[in-house]
Amino acid sequence: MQINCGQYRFDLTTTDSAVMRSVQQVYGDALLADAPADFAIGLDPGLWLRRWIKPQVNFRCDQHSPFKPLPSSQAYAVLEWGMNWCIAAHEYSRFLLHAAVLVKNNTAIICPALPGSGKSTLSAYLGLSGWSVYSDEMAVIDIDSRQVLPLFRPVCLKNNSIDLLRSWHPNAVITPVCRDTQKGDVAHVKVLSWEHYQQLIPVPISAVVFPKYKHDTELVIYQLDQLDAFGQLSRNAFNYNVLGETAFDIVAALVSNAGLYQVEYSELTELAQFFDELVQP
Amino acid sequence: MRRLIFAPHTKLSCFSDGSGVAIYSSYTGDTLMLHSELRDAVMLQSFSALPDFNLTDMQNSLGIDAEEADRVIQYLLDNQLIISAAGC
Repeated sequence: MQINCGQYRFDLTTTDSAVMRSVQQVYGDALLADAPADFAIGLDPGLWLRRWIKPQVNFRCDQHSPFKPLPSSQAYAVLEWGMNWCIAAHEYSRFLLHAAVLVKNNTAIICPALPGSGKSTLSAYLGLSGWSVYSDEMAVIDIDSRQVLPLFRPVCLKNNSIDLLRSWHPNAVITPVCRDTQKGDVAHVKVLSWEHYQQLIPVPISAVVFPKYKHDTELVIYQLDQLDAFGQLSRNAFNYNVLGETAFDIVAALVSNAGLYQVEYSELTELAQFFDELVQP
Repeated sequence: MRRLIFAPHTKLSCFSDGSGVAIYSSYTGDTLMLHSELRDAVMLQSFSALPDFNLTDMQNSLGIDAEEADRVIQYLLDNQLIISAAGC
């Protein structure tokens, strides 16, 4: 079956019916392109004994298996992580930053952050509250225009944020929870319809915000200096070393032209208000 | 005092808030960042535009003391980001 993520297409081979249902749930409304896929991927069952005792799943991209096999109950999460790996490991014609991309008023805010900073919860919350989530994981930046491109992907929720999001948006489309993964419990929430995705255009980046979730704190906003932001962004890029001088120029332009902030927050509503101020026309 | 220049394979980006300079080496692919204590964008711009510089120029531009400037210069020399100006 084909998965169309907008910028990239995957040809998926699997016999796992639960995975096929989740793919249908998340990507089912996407138009299937009449063009060759960028990546041929597969979810293979483990060796024959592993089909019966503690079944496993193995992600494959072309002839390579970049990960160790994982329990088959985590198959959909493995698929999404595998698709991230395919893009991050092979995309050299665009600049890739490990960051969430949130867009409103045709202006992007990118949130590069370490795991656990709450960027996926933030992305899901805003994505279901009027913002367009271009990605919760990977900012794809065009080298020439330096604008960020949209991806048609779900947001990966972890642990408590799954129930939190269900309580905020009871009608949200969320895949079944994969328990006890290396990131804890994981589920994916659909934040874009294909119809919405098709209206999205490449947009300029107006702000870079490094969010940090801190329990029971008021919203604290720090202005970052350009050198610090440069260091953090270049460390958060997937292909900085491959693109070399091109990446250096993009990051230098980004920190020179965008607002640079670090925020500590516990209430998403307060942070959302700050984000709204950043994208005022 | 020895005059120095940035190596031909380097590229500089001076930040407009005066926070420092990023130096990219297309020879190694590495990026090095120099933090400015002075936070003076104009000083940084003039420093990067100098045809060559010495320890005092670096000291004045980054707002650091002679000992620190000497360490920075030694580090840049070791990493071949700067070289001695011709004839010096």
